[in-house]
Amino acid sequence: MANLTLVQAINLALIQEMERDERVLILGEDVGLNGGVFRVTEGLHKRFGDKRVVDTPLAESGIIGASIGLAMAGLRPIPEIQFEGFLGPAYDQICSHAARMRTRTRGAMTVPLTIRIPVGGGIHAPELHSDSPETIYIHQPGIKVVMPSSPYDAKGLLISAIRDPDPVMFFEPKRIYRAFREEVPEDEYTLPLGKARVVCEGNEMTIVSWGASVVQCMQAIERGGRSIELIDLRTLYPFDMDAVEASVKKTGRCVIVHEAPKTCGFGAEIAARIMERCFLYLESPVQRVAGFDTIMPYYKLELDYMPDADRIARAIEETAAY
Amino acid sequence: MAGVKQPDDKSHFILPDLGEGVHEAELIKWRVQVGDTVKEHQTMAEMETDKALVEVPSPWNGVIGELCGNAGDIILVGSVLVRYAGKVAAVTSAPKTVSAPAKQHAAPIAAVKPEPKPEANEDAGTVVGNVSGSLGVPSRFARQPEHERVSSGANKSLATPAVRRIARELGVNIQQVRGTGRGGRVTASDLQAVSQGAADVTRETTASRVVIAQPITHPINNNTVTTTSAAISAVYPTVNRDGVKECIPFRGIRRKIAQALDLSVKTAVHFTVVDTADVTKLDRKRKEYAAALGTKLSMLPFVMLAVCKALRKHPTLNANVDDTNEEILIKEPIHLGCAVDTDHGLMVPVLRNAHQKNVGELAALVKELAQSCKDRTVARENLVGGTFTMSNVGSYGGAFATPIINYPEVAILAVGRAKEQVLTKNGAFYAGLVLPLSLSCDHRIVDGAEGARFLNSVLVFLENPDQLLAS
Repeated sequence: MANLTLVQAINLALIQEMERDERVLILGEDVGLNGGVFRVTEGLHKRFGDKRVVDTPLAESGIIGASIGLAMAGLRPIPEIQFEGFLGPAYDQICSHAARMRTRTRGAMTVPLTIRIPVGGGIHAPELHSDSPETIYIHQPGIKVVMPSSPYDAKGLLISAIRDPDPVMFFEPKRIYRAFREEVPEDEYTLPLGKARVVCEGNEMTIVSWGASVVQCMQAIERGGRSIELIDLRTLYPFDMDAVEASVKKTGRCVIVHEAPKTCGFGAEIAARIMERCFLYLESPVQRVAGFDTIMPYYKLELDYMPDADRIARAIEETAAY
Repeated sequence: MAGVKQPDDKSHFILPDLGEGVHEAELIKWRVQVGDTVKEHQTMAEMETDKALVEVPSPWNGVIGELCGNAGDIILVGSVLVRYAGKVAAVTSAPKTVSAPAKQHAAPIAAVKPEPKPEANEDAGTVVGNVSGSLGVPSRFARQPEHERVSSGANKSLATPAVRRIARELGVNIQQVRGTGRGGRVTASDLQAVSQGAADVTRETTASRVVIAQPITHPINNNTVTTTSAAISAVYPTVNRDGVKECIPFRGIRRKIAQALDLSVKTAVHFTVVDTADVTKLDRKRKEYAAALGTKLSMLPFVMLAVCKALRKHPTLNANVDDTNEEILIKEPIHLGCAVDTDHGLMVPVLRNAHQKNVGELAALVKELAQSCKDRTVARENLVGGTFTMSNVGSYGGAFATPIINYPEVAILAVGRAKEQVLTKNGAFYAGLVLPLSLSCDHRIVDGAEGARFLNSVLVFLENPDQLLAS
């Protein structure tokens, strides 16, 4: 066991999967010689050479398009999109092709592709470097969407994503790339996609979150002294509604926390599912703590935009007092 | 500033992450003094991280009130670096600086593991933005081994939000209300009833229904039964206490019996059908068996055998009713409850898989279970799970009865005392032994005709011992 940051855990997972399976290769902007903008692929080029760690031109559509072809030809490409804000040019390749290939070929071909994308705000970055667009890809059928909140989960989920036969978008919350460390086994292990983690158990209220917001939820819970069950979804599509249902039926109250804008954020879907499955158990309205319906502000205001322990704690109190 | 929120009141400046994901920096030199007026973006200090010498600017205009640290000190990210004059707002919660010799880590939030100082060869950064080191995981959230959770909404009251609002307005604790709506939902009228004192049975009562239950016409004082159910908030008349010889608190087994009976009567729709069986021939068989086995043998195990065989012909009576889920559960095995009178009250041990046993085994099992009830050594699992119950009222003297079903079972048979009577056959009198039988059923599940057919099957078996005892 090593005490690793999230960046190091992902780096370790990449190395181990590349050692294990020669079909695995990495491509993206500055992922090779430079080691990646966040150092996630550091050392990989030297170790595996430029046929397996490929620096690409600055063209996201090309990175994903080429990766789809490689995947259909039998390889296991792991393209990196440098920041979530640059997904725009790749959207067509992801949603018009990667997501549809299994259906288009009636199952004859799949696209075993893992797209790694740093996501979210809180790191003092400029425009198009701090967004949370996960819901766009959750809404697109045919793609799995993962967002870990800790080094341990990141390694296990990434390995599962790489081995998955279909396209997976693997969002890595930048804010917690190096924010804390966790014991991560050196041995390879996988965590199932689609399974939530109950971070802590409680009876009074359920909080559902994912990504860096999970840590904010912990801090809000820590200061409140209430018995709160915190669920980290980890995988957003398919998401673990059974875990949410069991918890909300127990607690009767739920707060959903995410960094993405509130309107049509994934919290809306979760709230609707809770209505469908837990209506008779609810003791208060499901509440969402989310980003605002504005463009993510520049860094001076980004911490005011993102849900923090203060806002979450207020939502907890309002929900408890309803 | 990356990862660190500066105070809204501009009373102080917190050292932000200086750009390489590092968590501390050495103060090289102050570029301002206390009392200086600084402008936004003006450099206040030079600090050195593992990577670079950095000029730290003031984020706003102000007058320097205090410089927190001396050249050579290691300052943690998240610590106060400068206080501004004239601003006295709450800074007490801000972390303190750490002087060089101590070098203690006093991060604002305790991380799961203390963040080690980045090694010299560890590239800790990004070329865009600053990867923050200021967000920590409180220790109580440290990863635990994952285990299967068994939590669920069981025992929670079910209600729509509108009904919950009514409960709040009426001041009724909805958890205490037994729902009568679809699937056990609490309805608005349930709440009205409770708040008006005409209340239904509470959930607590419902939950205690299983263990010791039982029915019948014997020594339960009628007064006691009707005034039971302490949980009910109905209005009872004042009772005249003149001449009370002994006052027995309504507790323990007595109370459980009462609650179970009360629930049964309020839930199951009882009807009773009675008949008599000519057991003259069976009684001769009984004596032969007793002689052969060399033990005393009552009529009861023979009746049990007849009941098992009759239940196979009429399986609807071998059932439990699940009112919560609105389901009738027809059972495959026959677990025969058998009412036993004990010093501490009525108990109903269960003969499991009675259908697989012969008369001798049934007799032995009844004897053993009855004894274990009387000396209170009976295991709890032998008091639950019945699918049909029998009550041998006859051993105390009654003929017919109106037995109360051992809910959630759906039927119960009371066996009266056999008596010699004058009978007729083909126009002639003869003396025969007559056994009275009384069957109560839950009419919701068992119709009158089905109940009568079942009772008749029992009769036919009892009157034709060869058929009864054929394996």
